[in-house]
Amino acid sequence: MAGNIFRELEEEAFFIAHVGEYITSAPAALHPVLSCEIDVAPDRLAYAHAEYVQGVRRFSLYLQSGDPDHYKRAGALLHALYLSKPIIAVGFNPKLDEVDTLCTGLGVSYGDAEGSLSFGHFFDEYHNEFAAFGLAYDTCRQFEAEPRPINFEFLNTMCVYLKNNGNLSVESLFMVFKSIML
Amino acid sequence: MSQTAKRESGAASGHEAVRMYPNNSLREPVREFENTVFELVKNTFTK
Repeated sequence: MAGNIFRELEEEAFFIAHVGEYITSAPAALHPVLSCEIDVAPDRLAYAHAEYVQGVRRFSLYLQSGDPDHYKRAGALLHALYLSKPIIAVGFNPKLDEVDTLCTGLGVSYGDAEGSLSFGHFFDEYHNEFAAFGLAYDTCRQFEAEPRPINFEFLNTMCVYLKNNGNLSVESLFMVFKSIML
Repeated sequence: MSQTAKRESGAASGHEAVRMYPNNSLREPVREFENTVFELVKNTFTK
């Protein structure tokens, strides 16, 4: 088993490398559902790291242990990425308005093309929220013996919630993870 | 002890203790990292 990822994320160089690698891996990992290139800003990752550390320290003040659990740290990580929005550009190839589901390429089914178009529109709108929640959720579940799965409806709802509300607190996002892992 | 000294000592008592979260600490991970969210998307949108 690797080390404790939430502790390692407190170190700036590790945070920037790890979070940056997760985000930039998304298009390849999601192929063929997602066909795009993304640009991630290192300075925004550095800002996210500072926010993550501040979020963890804030919780430390309210705990006699001074050592917040994985729900609180997942909330701090999501909040840091929600604030910093590290993906600064998304370029679809082909462009979404050029995708024709009725005339697909060789080896691409109608269903695959339709799925790609549908998720493409979602990712175009919610790329930062999707990446932020995906990383925080999958990191949090490393600490659960029997993690509860989520479905796409929940993921979609979470991304809209993050996008539509510009003043969410670290504590409200901690409660999201505490609730869904119960 | 002054109010300031109490706060700086980190000691929690009375009303202050009530406002604290349950005292959970970070435990060790029990599983490797898995990209379940990416898999969820692929399973949802691949026919």
